[in-house]
Amino acid sequence: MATPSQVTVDDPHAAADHSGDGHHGDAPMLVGYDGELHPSRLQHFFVSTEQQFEASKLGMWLFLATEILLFGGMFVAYGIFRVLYPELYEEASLQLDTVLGAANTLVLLLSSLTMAWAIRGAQMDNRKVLVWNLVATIALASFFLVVKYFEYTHKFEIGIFPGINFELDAGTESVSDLNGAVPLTPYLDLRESGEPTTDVEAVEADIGTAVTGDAPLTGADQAPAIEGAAGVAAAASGSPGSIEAQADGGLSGAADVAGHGDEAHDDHGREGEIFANRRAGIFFAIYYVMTGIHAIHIIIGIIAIGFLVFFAQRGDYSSVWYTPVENVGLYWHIVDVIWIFVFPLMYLI
Amino acid sequence: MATLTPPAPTQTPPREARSYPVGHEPIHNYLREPRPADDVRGVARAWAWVKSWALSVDHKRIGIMYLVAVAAFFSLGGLLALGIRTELFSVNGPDGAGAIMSADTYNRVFTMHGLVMVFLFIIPSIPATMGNFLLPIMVGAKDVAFPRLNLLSLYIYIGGASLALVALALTGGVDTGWTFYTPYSKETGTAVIWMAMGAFVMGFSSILTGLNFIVTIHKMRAPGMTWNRMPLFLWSIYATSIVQVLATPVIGITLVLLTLERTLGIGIFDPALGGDPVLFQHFFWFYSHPAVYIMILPAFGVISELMGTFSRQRVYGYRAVALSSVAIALLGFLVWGHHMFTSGQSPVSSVVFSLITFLIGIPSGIKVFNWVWTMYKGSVWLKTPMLYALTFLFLFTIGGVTGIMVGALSVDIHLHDTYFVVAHFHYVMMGGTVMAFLGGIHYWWPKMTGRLYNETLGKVSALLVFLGFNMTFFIQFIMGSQGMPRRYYDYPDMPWLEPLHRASTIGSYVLGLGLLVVLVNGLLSLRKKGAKLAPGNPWGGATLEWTHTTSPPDHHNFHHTPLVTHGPYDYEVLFRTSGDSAGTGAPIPNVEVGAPQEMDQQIDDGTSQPDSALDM
Repeated sequence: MATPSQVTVDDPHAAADHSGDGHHGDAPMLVGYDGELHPSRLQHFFVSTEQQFEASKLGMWLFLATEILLFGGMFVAYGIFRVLYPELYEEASLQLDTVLGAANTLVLLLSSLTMAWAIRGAQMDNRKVLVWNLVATIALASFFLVVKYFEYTHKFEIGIFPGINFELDAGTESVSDLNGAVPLTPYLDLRESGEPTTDVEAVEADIGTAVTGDAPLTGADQAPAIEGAAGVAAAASGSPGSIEAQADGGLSGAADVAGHGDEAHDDHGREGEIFANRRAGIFFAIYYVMTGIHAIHIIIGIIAIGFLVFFAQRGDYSSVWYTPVENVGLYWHIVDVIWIFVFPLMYLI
Repeated sequence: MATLTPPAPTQTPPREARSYPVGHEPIHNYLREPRPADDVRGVARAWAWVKSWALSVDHKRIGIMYLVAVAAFFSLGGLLALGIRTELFSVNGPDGAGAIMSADTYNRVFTMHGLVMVFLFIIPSIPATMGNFLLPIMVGAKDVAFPRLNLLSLYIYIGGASLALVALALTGGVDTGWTFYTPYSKETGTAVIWMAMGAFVMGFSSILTGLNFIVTIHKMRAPGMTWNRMPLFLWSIYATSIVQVLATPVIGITLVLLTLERTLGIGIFDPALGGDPVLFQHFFWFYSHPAVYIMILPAFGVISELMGTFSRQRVYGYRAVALSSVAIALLGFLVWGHHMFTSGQSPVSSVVFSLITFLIGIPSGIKVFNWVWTMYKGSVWLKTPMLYALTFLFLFTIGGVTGIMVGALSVDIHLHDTYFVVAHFHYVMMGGTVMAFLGGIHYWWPKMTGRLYNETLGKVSALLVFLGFNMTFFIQFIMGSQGMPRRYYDYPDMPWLEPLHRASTIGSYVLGLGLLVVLVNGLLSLRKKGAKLAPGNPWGGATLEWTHTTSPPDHHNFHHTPLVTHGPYDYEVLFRTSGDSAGTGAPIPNVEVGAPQEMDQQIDDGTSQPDSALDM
């Protein structure tokens, strides 16, 4: 206990520990599965460890419900545009690599297995099983992200960007031309964020060079931002002028393409009707948003499991108290389940 | 947290504690404990005080911190509203002469009024303040299930509010209207991203609070606190929490998509790219219509408590009132399309949405009738909280019935985007939620602060608010039905509306004055000298916070875990065995007006009322 000279807060209930973290010396000890005494980590405002465990688990389930609704919004958007543009979805999904997607599905399923195994390890007071399965889960999750990275960069290289940045084949009329819609004013955001207007003009000039001649795309329709401009230029033409223009673009993928000209597109398999579909950007917007937010969840999961590994090898978890392992496990399974829905919807059908 | 001392061997009761009933001195009252040690002085002491609040995981302190923040944002939103009304006081001259603000400024002012009031004030208003303070006490627990998550949600709320204030500082606010409708929200040059991210972040706060409350109600009820013994406030908070948890993620992803639309041009809401701006409206209202039940359901709970306590009568139809909250929460997910009758959605869906909208009138009506019936043959005690509750009943009924009017397809086409809708919304939200908020604050103020406010000032404030509110908004029904469109900063083509606008503006000043009186009254009650200390149970309530805790409550709420043996409104039991379960009860105040109940004749078991109606 502290000496009075160190005291800053005088709490008559200090012994009951209202700091809420449960990490205090005189916590009740319980006998675990291994017959040893373990701290129960019972927080003072709970009556029993069972109550505490069930409360945590219910809280986690409710959180998972919010996750499902978060992705639910995106699934609804997916469904609505699928109904509106069925052919678009069929063409666009051909651009996704089914083998890589299937591999990732397998990897995530395996990681769910290791996660469940880790929880079993905690329940059996087997620290080795717990720690190594957690490490394996992190490894599998990282593998998933690496595959995702290659999928993304490949798409960036051949000009598959979400929404307005999607690079249509040269000669395709832009959406806004056909719809008779008011052309977008893509520089509003730049103006708002206070970017110097000279940059915008430079981009316009670049596009002007790029689309000289054969391409009907207009800069005002197709270039929402600087990095987009280089991409548009790449799609629009393989003329030497565009190569120079792209060298100024900020995006490494686009610059790489610029170095190779149109051949680069062929090398990477830029073919198919999708590149002439004026609405292709919608599909890939949904693809990038869904898989991107899913990937963010994977990263959060890796961080959470990393913490678990740290505390697990320190010996914090036992059959008496392993609530964090259980809850992170639940989270990990929901991330897995969401992928199991994303994969067929995006890649297979 | 700082290092803590061992418990002091004996605690001398504070000097003023002598005026508390014996056995009910708030020795460890949460406002004082934990506190800096006596030997810490000066700046260090002030800093220790700040830390003991800012890092506190005590649900009561978190509730009070929410109350301060929410009151501040309510004032900000109120000032913006007064700005709107002042601009509309008269028709502008040619070229905008006489306007106190430009049309662009007006757009930002009404948008920020809506955003501040909706996201910063009214959604956290009752759940985060009174819910946080009372819910664990009402279920008989020491704290919510996840106290640190509770503190985190407070800071997330403050972080989200800060983002909103950044939007206000950068471009003077957003000019899209609080609904962020695309495609304008994509095109406008104002700080939509900051504001959208602010609302997104505050959504997490709302989710975490709701999650915490659901788990607390499910898992932490005291022995004997069955579902059917829960105060109706808990039922309504429970229903609210369901909506918070299930609806808020959808606005989260919607605002993320809007932000991506502005930054990356993903095109999902952009018709030029094949996207669908009406989809944004669907997403938005899928959250924002249930969100109006996040706003009104806790108010229902507060009114149930007030009706019971101040009528000295068991709340009539307890189960019907409790389950109607849940019914509203669930039905509320199925009616979002009634905001979009003019959006071009299919006529079939409009009809279905209109029909389900009418269905919500049923559980709402059940509540109103049961509250009225609770007062019947009760001893109605017209204290300030009850005045606000009666105001609620009056205003909410008008708001609800006009809601049925705008929920009807043919009428809505005529009234859409007029002041009629503005008036309806304010009758429900301000006349409903804010009145319940004020009534609840007056009701639980003695419990929260340990002080009694000035009853006369309280009644004056209730009168001013009632008159000011009706003067402001009832007129707007008339203006709306005559075609005054909402969100316009001038009405040059309708000069005959000027007297009505003037009356409405004057009414808003009266309303503002009434709210100012509330603030002054509250602050006066906190003064050091001359303030009246509150007894443990000043109103004779029968729920746990009145019968089993001191005013203000102990740091740990209860001296010992309560054993609940009767329902929340069994006032007749309270007369016999009042106070804590040790039997050393606080005295129950006598009802000042109305005939005292004859205990031997009129023990109300909740089933006798229909018969007594026939006896009339």
